[in-house]
Amino acid sequence: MIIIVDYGMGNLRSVEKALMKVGADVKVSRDPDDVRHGERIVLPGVGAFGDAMDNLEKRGLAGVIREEVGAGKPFLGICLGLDLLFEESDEHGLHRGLGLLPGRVELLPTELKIPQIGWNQISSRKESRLLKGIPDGSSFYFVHSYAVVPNEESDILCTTDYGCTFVSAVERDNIAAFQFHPEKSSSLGLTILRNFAK
Amino acid sequence: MILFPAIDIQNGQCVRLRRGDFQDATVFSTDPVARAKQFEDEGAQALHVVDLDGARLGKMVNLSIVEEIAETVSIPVEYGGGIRTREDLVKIQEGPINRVVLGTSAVTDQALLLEAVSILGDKLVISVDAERGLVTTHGWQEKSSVSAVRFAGFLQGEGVHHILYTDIDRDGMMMGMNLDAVSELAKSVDIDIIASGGISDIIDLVHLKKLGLRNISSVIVGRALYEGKFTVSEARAILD
Repeated sequence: MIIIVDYGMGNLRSVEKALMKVGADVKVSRDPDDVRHGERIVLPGVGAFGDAMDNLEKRGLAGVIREEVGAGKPFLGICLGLDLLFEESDEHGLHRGLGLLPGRVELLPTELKIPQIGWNQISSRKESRLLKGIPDGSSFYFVHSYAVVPNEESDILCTTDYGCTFVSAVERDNIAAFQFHPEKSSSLGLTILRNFAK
Repeated sequence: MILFPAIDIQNGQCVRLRRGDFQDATVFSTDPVARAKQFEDEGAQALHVVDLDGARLGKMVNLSIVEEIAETVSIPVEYGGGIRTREDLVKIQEGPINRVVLGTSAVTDQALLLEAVSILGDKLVISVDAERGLVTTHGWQEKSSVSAVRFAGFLQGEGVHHILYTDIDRDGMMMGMNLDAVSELAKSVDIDIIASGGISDIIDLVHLKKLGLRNISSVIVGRALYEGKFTVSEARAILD
């Protein structure tokens, strides 16, 4: 069972439906026990970093996510769920994140319009099971103003150009996360979700 | 540039109007959700869905169908038609729809426009429907004296991120897009422009692309796709 963590940050139906489409057994839940006992964790979300961390703490989810993912449970972060993996963000004041990966979240250092909304290409920096069947240079759907800056080069899975080169996906062991929305990125997005669910 | 196939819903069916005339509808599918899925399967990267009954009656009529579309397809869905109140905005914001198009209501109710900017942020699209350069309202049934260019500048100042520009003289008429009008508008602002109205042939897409205007990010195509003038993948070959 894949647990989609519901912490009050945006509609989760699209993610749920997309995972169901690829044949996954999913449950949207705000119950820390489900996160503890589920086989895999998906952390989606849109909105402000600070509010998101507050909600995760308030609902008793931050601790259990740290424990379970720290112990090796497969984790997929989407958009805000990628940002939250890192140690801190300067989005509307400094906020601490889950701290599962070293690094921080910063405003996109681009001359182009923020937020970036629309389709953009990824180029992969390393091999990944999750990108199986995804040709390099494929396009995915982005909606974001901030991007992660990992301390460890080896955590970078993909980068994308948007008037700057930013990290559009990360992966380390059981942890993977994407800045774009696989659930809104047509068949290739579903391929990523299928790879994760397998 | 991103192609948005258009799905207009009237009486639960997928139709196309000519020049926005509610009486002049052609039914292209009786199942809008299936039609949406078909566009996705053909390679569409986004969908533009309009609740025509909503636009005509001034209240959301087919929201549940639009939400079903948004949940069924794995591409972003933009929706407009009949949104008039703050409650409408909150309700949509909580649902699966990715972008919300406000038209009439933004022209006639500035307080609502400000609320929409604050509730929806970058999910908000303001539709500027123009006839001979002037903004029209209420499903194109009424004309204002505001120029489209001036209105676009005002919207940019209010924090709107996207403008959907439709030339209603051309919409559904298969006469080609009014390129002068859309480029004049795009040059007058920095924000994102979605061009709509009149695309009838693949060559229209070539011309639009050739304008080379960076902030024209997307184009909405309706009747030309339904009548098979070109396919989604042929359009993407031009626009990508």
